Formats: sequence, C-alpha cells, structure tokens
Amino acid sequence: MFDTMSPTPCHGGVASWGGLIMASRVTGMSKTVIYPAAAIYTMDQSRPTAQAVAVRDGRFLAIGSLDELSVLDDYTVDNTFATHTLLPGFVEAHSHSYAGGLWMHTYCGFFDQTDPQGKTWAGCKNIEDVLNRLRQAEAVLLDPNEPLLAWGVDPIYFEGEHLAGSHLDQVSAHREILVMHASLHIATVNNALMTAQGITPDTTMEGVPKDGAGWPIGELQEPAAMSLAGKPFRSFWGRLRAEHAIQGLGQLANQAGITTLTDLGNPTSTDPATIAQWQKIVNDSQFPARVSIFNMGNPATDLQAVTATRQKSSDKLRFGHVKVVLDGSIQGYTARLNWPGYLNDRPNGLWLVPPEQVTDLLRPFHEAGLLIHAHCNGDQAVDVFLDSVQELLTETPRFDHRYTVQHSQLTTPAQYKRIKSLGMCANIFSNHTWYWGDQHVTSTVGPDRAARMNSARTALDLGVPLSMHCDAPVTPLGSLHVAWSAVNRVTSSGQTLGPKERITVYEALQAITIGAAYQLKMDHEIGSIAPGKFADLAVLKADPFLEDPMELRNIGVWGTMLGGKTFPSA
Amino acid sequence: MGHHAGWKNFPLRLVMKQSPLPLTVIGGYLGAGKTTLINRLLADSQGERLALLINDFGDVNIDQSLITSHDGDTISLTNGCICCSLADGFASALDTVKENAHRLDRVVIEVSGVGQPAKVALWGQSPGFYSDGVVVLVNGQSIMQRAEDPYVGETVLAQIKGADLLLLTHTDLMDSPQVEEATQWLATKHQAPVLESPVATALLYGLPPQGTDSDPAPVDYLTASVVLNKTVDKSILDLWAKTRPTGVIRAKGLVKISDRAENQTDVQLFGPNLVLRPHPSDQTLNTVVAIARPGTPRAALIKWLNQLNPAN
Repeated sequence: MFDTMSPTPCHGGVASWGGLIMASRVTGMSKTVIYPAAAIYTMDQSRPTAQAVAVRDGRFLAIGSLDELSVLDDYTVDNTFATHTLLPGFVEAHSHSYAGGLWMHTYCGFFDQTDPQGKTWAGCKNIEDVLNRLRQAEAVLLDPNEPLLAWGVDPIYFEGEHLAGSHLDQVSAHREILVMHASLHIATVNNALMTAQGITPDTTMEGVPKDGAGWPIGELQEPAAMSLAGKPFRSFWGRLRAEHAIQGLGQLANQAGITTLTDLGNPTSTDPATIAQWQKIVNDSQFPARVSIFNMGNPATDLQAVTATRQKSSDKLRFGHVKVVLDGSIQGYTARLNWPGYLNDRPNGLWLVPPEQVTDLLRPFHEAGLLIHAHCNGDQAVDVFLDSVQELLTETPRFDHRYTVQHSQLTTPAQYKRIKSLGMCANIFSNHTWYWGDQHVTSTVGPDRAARMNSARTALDLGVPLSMHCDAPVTPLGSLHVAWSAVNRVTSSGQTLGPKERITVYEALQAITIGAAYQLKMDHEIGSIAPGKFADLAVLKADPFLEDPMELRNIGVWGTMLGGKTFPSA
Repeated sequence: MGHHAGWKNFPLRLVMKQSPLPLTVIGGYLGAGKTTLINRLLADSQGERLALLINDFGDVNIDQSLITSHDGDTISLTNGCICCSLADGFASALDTVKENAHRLDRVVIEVSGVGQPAKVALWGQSPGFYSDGVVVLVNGQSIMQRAEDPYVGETVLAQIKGADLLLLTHTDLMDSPQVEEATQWLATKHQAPVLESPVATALLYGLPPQGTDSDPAPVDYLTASVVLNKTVDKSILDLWAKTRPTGVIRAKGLVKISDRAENQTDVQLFGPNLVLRPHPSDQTLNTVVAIARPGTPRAALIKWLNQLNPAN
C-alpha cells in the first residue's frame, strides 16, 4: 500500500535500455511500441511503478519491468521518454471550452499565463502594464475598423487604481477598445467605442457610471450595460465559440499534460451544429485530448435530446451527461452560504434555480440513469443538492450514480459525511487557495472558514471519491497547479490556509487522474496506466515525487501521449 | 380633463417614427402565478402586439393553430405577438425584438423564479426600449412564511423591493382577513401599490382598463390627466411624486423640465418612485396622466395633478 506515501520509483537510467533493444525481436511490421521512461507512476495499486509501457492499437498492452516486457512479440523501442517521468494523462473534470477562445483576445490578467501557442504572457501588475500590453496589441492590428478586445484585467490587485476609459484613450483615440474584467461582470471601454456605439451623457442606463460633468467614464457594469458596447461586445463572446477556440483549448491541455477535458456546462450540446463542430474537431487524430461535454440546458425539455446525444459519442468525445448550477461564486459574493454568511453581514448570494425546484429538475435525468454534476460553491447550495439527491435516491434507488458536488468550496465535515453516505463524489476547486485565498481571509468569509475551504483532506479521510479542478478559464488550465494548491494550500501572499487540510503529492496526483476519471465515468478507460486502458500519458520533465512539493507546479511538461500518439507541446 | 380623457390619445409611442418600445418586467418567486399570467397575456393581448420573452416555451400554453412560424428561439402568432426564448440571454432575445420592432407594441419579460426583476428591468434602458414598469407577483398564501425561509427569504424580499406594482395572487384561496393581513404585511416591506389578482392586463402596462369580456377588470378605475401650460421645475415634480394620493397606481407623461436640455422628459411614477428620462421627441406633449384605484376621491386626484401647473 502506498495510499499516502510516495511510491519508490524504478530509476533504471538510460544506459540499461541498450539491452532491451538488443533483445528485441523485430520481425517485419511491428505495431507494439515499448516506451521506457525514467520513472512511471501508474496510479494503479496492483503495479504502482514500472520501467516501461508497451503500447499497441492506442492502448496499453503491458506495463512492467524491462525483463517482463522483453518477452513480447514484435515490438520496437521508442526512447522519446527515456529521461522523462510518465503519469496517466491528467483529467480536468471541470473546465469550459471558452478557455481556449479567450486567447483570441489580448490577455491583461494579473498572473503570468501561457497561451495556446505556448507563449507566456507576463502578468499586468498595474494599469500602465495593461496599457502597454494594449499598445503592443493595437500596433499589430492592420484593419483600423477592427475593435481591440482584451480580457482578464483584475483591478482587485491594483491597490485602488481604477481602470477608466480615459486610460484606454491613451492607447488609441480612434480604434474601439473593450477590456473585459476577470469577473466577466464589468468591461472598460474607450471614448472611440462610446462614440461609435452611442454611449453618451444621454445614456441613462444604470451600470454606466459618469464623471462630475456627466460623461460616462467608460465602465460598463453587468450584462445590460455591457451590451451597450454593441458589436465589439458581441464579438467578444461570439469568437469564443469559433473552431480555433476549441483548437486552442486542446493546445492548452497539451501543454498542461491533460489528455481528457470537460466542457462542463454546454447550453447547446444537443444542437446538431454544435455536435457536428465538436465531432469534426475532437475526433480528428490531430486533436490532442478527449472531451466530455456536459449538457446544461432546460431540463424539462432536454432529457430526450440529451439522451439522444449519447449516440454521438466516440472514444474521444463524450456526450450525455448533465450539469446544473445552483449558486454563484464566493469571490463574487454570489455563492449561497449558510449562516453566518459573508463577512460583516454582506447580503447572501444568488440562487440560479429555486432550491425547492432542484429535485423536480433533476428527477427525469435521475430516473433515466444519467450522470449529474451540480455546481455548488457555497455550503447552503451543497445542502440543497444533498437534500435533493437523498430525496431522489429514496424515491428511485440507483447504483453507481456518481452524483458530484462541483467546486464544493465550503463543504463542512458533516456535509462530506452525507456525501459519502449518499454515494456521491466531490470535485474541489483547490486553485482558489492560491488565487483568492487572501481575499477569502480578509473579505469574503474570514480566516476560520477560509481555512476550511476546499478541504481535500477531510474529503479523503471520510472516503469521498475526490477530484480537483481549475475551472478554466476562471483559473488557468493546469493540473499540476491544481495538485500543488491542494498539497501546499499557500495563498498568493504566502500564508498557509488550514494546513491540516493539505494532502500528499500522491493523493493529489490520484485526484487529477483516476479520481477525475471516476467522476466522468471513464475510469475503466483512462485515469491510470494499466493494460487495456487508452494509452494516455502526461509526460513530465521531472519526477514529482523527488521534487520539493512546493515545486510541483513548476515541473516542466514535455507533452502528452493520447491513444498511443505522442503530442509534444510547443 | 376627464375620465379617460387624454389617455386614449396619449401618443407616447407615436411621437417619433422609431419610438422606443415599452418594456414591462414580470417577476415573482416560484408558485406566484407568473405562468398563469403570461398565458393570460398571450391569450388576450388586448390588441397589443407583444414580444414575450420567456425562459421555457414548455411552460406556456400556445394554441398550435395560432402559430404562424417557429424557428426555434422565436414563435410568431396570428395575433401579432411573438414569443422569444431567453435561452441565449437577454441581449440576443432583445436583438430579435429590435429586428421586429416595427410590428410590435410592447415587450414583456418573464423573469425566472429566483431572478431579480428590478435588475432585469435594466434591459429596458437599452437603446430602442424604455422601462415601463416592474410587476412582481406575490403568492398571498405563502409569502409571509416564504420571507422567513433561510434559503430564499432574502431573494423573495429583494424581488418585492424591486417592484413598481405588486400583484397579490392566490387570493381566491384566502379569506378576506388573510388578504388584508398579506396586504398589510407587504406595505411594511415596500411602498409599491398592491393589487389583487386577477387584474385587467392593461393595468400591468399602466394603461386604463377597458373592461372587455375576457378581461376580468372592474371598470371603475379612475384616470385623469393634466396638460401643463409651461415648463415645470424638477423640485415641483419631486414634491408631486411624494404627495401622491394613496390610491394612485401609476402616472406617466411627457413634460418640459426647466433647465433641462431635452425638449421633452419622460416622466414615470411607479408607486413612490419617480423616474425621469430624456425622451427623443421633437413634438411637445406636456401631458401627465394618472390612474388610481376604485374609490380614490376624484377631486384629490385632480388636485394632485394640478400641482404640476402652479399658479403664476
């Protein structure tokens, strides 16, 4: 057993592979390829480590020592991974397809982030950084009528500085500029855009703040006001659905070692055009990931449509699961919290569906045997979901339903006990500790409940099937960062939140591989390195069990293997 | 000035060719009766060509024989109304409405049971529209208990506080002390007028009820209007709004406000809330109309309206 300790790797070293090659019996066309590696961690307890994997027909044929594999017929040896560490391809069980599309716009976020082409963009630490970034982007736009669209700016980090339209006027007085904030609830626009779109002192809409002289300052708050930005606003969202947005998502996954993605919450996943688009892109052998698409639609009418989409699934593309959203976000103060709610009596959050309707909403899907995941950031939303699942399971018992609490950020130990006893799973948003942990301490829930947030240790100790996620693009697509967050629970300012809730490196890597695969009902196919499973690998440039746990997120990713095909990242 | 005088001919939307469409928001918690109301609006549109923006076509009873076209997100009906799905959001649905604005009279948005109607009403401030009131339905039987609910209490109260007009529903299942109790309770939460459902649909739009056969309206609602003989000071409008007789449900008009650049300002009085917006009018109307509950003293209503015409 190495449930909670690091396994002992087999570090054979490159030199010893010569023997294997010499011993190989190559007789004509060989379909079996043996990949020796510096270390292999299978996430499969029966054979936790290995020296090499043998791959045939897109699947793992055998896993073992060099001696063991040398008895195979007709193999070739590929030393591509000889100095690398292999893990099962990472599984991101809560991401959104538009994470790829946002990169079609200029990145202005606070943290360094890497785009689908592999270029790392430095974080914008102040308004001048934002303006410089925009100037560079503006300089390469050839068509003077093309609006400059940007995303990710987060003034919460700018210490009181307020991004206004007049700042953006310094970038261009003629080109329309729209900068979407990280929250996606506010956009800042320049004077050229306001002039072109008719946002004037006569604009009376709320959410369009004005200066002392009555001129709009260029901030558009909430969707109604943002829609005043007209065509640039529509372009911002419209482009996220384009084909190369999905291609970008695949590239981001590849850089992160992810071989299975989710589009967790697609409102048009029963639409034939959407299905055809995803089929065309993902089923192409060049696309480097599998994708599981969860429908997020109107449940009363969609059961038949969702069930029908299951016929459209393939080895790489899965349809037919369901997501519902119960509440908002904690950092946006829209998650539903049990008493005492947000700090200093700030109003409680929003329900996305009426709590007493959740059971009725889920019932047809429950009875049809579909997999259902529910977005519950706040603990009150968790209560509502658990009550509904309990009611449904009492009415119509189901085995192996894998109901999953998504985000599960403030879930209490008592709730985890219920999750366990109801046979449910938790997919925890562990990246929050790093990205908003400090804000949770000072502003949203205070140090006590911030220490309880994303409590993976409690979930594991109670036997709750665990996964962890990044919710890209809310935080960048990156499984090692997710694992690092759960292992270290360090905030951006360096404090450790709830150190007793930390989990081991091995547990964290389990959660982002076999743990996530289980929640997608794919653990019989992916999530561990075992004979018969798809040959999906995360190829790392260092051994996560030998590195300092604080370095986990910095481990280089060579790329991936998907179904036996190698995908080196750019 | 007189009963209905001025109102029927009130050309708020005829002033300009591209006049903005009035946009009415209907909200209320689960079980408040929104779907029943929406079905009634659709079945008897009172000659208004409505664009109904709804969350789920499945909830609405649309007589198949009345459908002239159905393109997925939009259903067109023989009575000139269209239904638009909100599945792609408000911006997309309102784009559809704009494309059809020339053959529509009004937009009605149904807000989801947990949605905040006052926030949705912001869309009524988009170009091409004007906000024509927030109607919030309240289930008289359950509201006081619901307001204490740890899960949805503040959601329900926030809905109520965003209303321009409160519609008390399920009163047929309540006795009159219960209706009185619920009405009194609502008055402690929010100042908006409370009407008992069902009411004439016209009242929801701030129009005088005509009392047609299909419309269960009592005909004795009181309406009156005043023509302003000169510009009016903002301070007088503010005072006027604060001193409305208790029976006033709604008042609206176009006036010229002193020291304001625009030729005409759209005046909307919803309950206690005075909303003034520049109106893109090249004509001068200078008229304000008001509608009040049955039993409101007519003299008081007229006297109140005449405050807008102070003696020289």
